[in-house]
Amino acid sequence: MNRLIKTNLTLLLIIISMTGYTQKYICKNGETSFFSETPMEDISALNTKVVSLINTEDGSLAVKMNIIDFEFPNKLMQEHFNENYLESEKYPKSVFSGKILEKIDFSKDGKHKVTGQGNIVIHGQAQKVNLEGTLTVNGDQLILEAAYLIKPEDYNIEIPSLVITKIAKEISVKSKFVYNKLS
Amino acid sequence: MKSVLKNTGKLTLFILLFGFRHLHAQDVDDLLGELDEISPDQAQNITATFKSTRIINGHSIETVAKNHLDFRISHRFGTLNSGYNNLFGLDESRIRIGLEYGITDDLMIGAGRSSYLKEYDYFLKYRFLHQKTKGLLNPVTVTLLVSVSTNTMDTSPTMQFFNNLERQSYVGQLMIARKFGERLSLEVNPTVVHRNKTETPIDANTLYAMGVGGRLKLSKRTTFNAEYFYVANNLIGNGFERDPAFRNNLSLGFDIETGGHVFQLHISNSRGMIEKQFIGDTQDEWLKGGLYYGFNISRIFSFDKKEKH
Repeated sequence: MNRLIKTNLTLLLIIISMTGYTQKYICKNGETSFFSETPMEDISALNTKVVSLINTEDGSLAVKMNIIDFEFPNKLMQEHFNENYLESEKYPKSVFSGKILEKIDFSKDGKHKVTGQGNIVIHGQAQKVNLEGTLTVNGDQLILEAAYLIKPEDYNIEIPSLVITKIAKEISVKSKFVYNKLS
Repeated sequence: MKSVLKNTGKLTLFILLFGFRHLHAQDVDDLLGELDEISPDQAQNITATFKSTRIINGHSIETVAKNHLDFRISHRFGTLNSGYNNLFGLDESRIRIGLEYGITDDLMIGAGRSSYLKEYDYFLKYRFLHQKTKGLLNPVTVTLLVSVSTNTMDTSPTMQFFNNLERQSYVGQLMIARKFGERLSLEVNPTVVHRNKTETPIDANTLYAMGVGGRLKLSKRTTFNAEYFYVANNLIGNGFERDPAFRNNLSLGFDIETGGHVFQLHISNSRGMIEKQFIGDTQDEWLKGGLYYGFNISRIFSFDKKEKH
């Protein structure tokens, strides 16, 4: 009888430790901003409603954002961004799905350089990408920061010759996600 | 003892099942699916139903964004049928200069001065319903316009003013529009115009009009626009009749957007560019070549803090 309880308890312990490993982390108010700099014009926008999930078991990562949630200081640019460039009524969201290549010990605090490999979808076009960033483990929180460049032409985003000098060939994008344990 | 054992057994089973569910290796696409479950796609407001706050003469449901200033110059030449001596209208011009400002993203105020009748106009425009990207609720966007205008022409034998109140006119208008996909937007504008003193003595002071307008996108940056205002006073009859000299206003035109500007080029049988004038004072006829060609130029300035992200 005692042995049975023991086995049960051992099993229980093993499973608890396993479920600990498969913990998911969620970020509901992630930030993604972009900046285009040319001698003619600087364009910037910020989205503070990005959602993301990390599965710490296999390091998989998913990010989702609505194009319409990008806020520009100039609302006319925002309208043109949605209507003419990203066509947000046709392609309302942008997603990333991939994996963090490095093995990270999520149980210990620390800062790690990470590479996210996967697919990014913008303007309905998917591209394989390797994104570099840092992942900070801070108790129950994870903080993921990344900076990368995006070429509008890779995503079929048409830039008319009239404004070609006003929009950078490569747009610099920054993301910061703060995750909490998904309960 | 037995009950404890039983309970532990149940607990283990529960954790086992729960644990295995988690242990199951997740595909990254499942993770995106899970993200969709946690944070489902919300219905968004439809934007850019029209390129500008005007379809042609009349207002569209669009308002100027918060802390943005729209500087508008509207210009109409003379009529096409005014003959060679007048270079088919090019010798003449009427202009309205307007400054229009967004207090919030849905509330704007504006003022303008038309050289026609030396008339000042002030208006307030509020969008209280947004068309949404999905769901059956909110199939249309609805905006309200309230406007006052003041005729500052000298009093004359043909238009005698005995006091300043007689110079005022008032407009109330509801704009109801729907964007049908990317290319087509349609709008209806039930309108009431009240003139304290009419241009001709036999005209009705209060006009009841129904405007219909729309735009068809020809490319990402150009649209074809049309607009018609039907004055329904004669349908009501009984002392509401209009002076038969006046006509309904029909306008056709194009919007061309170039970065910070929107150019609107059009022809219309109205010389006036504000509701009181194009609904109330239009006398020319399309079929007789009583057409004014003209343009509106809209330049938007942002007074939002220039944040860099």
